[in-house]
Amino acid sequence: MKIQRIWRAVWLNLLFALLIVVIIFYALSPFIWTVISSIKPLNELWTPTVQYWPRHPTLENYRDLLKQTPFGLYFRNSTIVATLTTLVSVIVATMAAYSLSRFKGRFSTSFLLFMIFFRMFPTVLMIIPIFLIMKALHLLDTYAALVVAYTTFSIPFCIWMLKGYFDSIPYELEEAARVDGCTRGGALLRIVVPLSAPGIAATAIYTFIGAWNELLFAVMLTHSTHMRTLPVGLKLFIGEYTIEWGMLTAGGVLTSIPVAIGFMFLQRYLVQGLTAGGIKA
Amino acid sequence: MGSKRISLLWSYIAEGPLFRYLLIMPAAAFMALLILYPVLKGIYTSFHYVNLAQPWRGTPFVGLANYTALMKDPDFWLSFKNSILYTLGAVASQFLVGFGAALVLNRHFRGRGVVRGIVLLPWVMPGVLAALMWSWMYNAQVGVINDILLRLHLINKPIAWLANPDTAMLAVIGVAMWKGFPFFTVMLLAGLQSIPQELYEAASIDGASAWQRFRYITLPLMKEIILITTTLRIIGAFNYADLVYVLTEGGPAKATLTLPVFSFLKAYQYFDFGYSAAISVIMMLVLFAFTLLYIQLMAVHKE
Repeated sequence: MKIQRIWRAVWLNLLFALLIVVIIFYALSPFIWTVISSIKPLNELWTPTVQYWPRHPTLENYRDLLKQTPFGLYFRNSTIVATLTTLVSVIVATMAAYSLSRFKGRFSTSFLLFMIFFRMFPTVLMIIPIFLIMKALHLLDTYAALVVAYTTFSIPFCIWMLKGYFDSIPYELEEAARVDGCTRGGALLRIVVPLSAPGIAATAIYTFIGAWNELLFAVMLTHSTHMRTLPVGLKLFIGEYTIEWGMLTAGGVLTSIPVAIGFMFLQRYLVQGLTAGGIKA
Repeated sequence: MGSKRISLLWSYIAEGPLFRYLLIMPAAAFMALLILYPVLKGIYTSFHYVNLAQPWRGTPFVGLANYTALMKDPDFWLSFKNSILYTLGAVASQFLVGFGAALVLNRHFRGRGVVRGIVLLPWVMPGVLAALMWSWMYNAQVGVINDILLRLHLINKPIAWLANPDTAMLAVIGVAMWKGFPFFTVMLLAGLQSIPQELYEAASIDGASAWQRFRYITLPLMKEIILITTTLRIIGAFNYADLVYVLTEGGPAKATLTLPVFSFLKAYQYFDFGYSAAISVIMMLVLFAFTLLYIQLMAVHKE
């Protein structure tokens, strides 16, 4: 009887471990396969039956990618655009989120409602007017066009995230600082911002990833090679280098690295933010 | 003396009654100029003939002409149907896989945080990257998916998943499932963790089976979060164009043409901005109707 129960527990634990392995494998297998493909020489990519492990691993795909294509340039453009978008969004949103968090009232409530409402607008509805505005301002094919376009979805998101973090900081701390002669702005800069630094960092990284990943605006608003971002570049590569999958997968690996690194830092905060923001929205 | 004046000015700004509005002003200006104005301009464009390929025709007001043309356009109805198919297929499969994974991860074990992090990776990666990786795995000649299915004798010759109109939508939904399931896992896991453990213990003592505990404790208590997350994902999937655009560009033979892709291609390839705007306005109306229905559902549920 007792032995039977122990066997049952062992069996259940094994099943459970197996399920976890299956989940991890499902989530990671495309990445694993992409990395493996990227280090295969061309003749091992196109074999009659698929070869699961490279016989002669090589980095020549990476070298070719960086030498023969403007991948490095795309990488630089994406970095610039995503960094600027993050800076603008986080600064503007920090101020607004503080105001919304500390001063309640009809204005704040309607502002927040307005933002939820905005989340429903299709991206494609925004692309046309923003294209026309940028065209009128002669900003097409510039970093500014992309940064401005990306703030349309990043600022509302940042305000949501940051308001949540600011709400969790006790007001008494600020009051104490103000008794000691701090102004409201001083309290914001010296108390609230430092205390919510992890939250601000998480919001910033998430904004960076969002801008890094964006495709449709970038396709529409840029047209010259030296202004293309990574997602657009990869999209074009797929059409251009149809059989050079070694190079394509190498591009994929390089594109995912900054996202993966940023993500490792913010994983825990992101989970909090996602669940909190999602439930509120 | 100058610094004193600046600090006086600063304290006036930072203490005054207008401080709250000053803080929110940049964000409000950004949103008015870059969201409100474009949305209104988009709606306005949908009532005009705007075609950048034919600038000599100007941008005259055409009333509902774009909309009546849409109603007669078979491509519009096809992409409408495809959009519903894609959205339902993607969200349903993401939900099932995501919920399953959440139930597994709800057990305590060492390294759970790490596993949850790994599971989230597909969600944070660019859609382009997901599309690139999966089109390589779907490849008709040397794709790993065909190879595995051939080795398992589930198919007897390779399938051109993305090039065949019969399988393209299924293949696209397969990618969407992989990319979107983590959202459900994380959200539903948070929901599962908020259910008091005592409920399950009490039910066990009363002799409830695992299925009965799931059916009569887990599901009812998760109802609200399931409704919220599925709604958010339905809105998200309905609007999401990246995957389809990179995987198939709406092809083959328009088998995967969804509304956002249709609208985007009308603007990007044909410069027919008025028509494209009309498509996205209709998408917005569909989502509004859907959201109203959802709020109604929630209200009924609360009573």
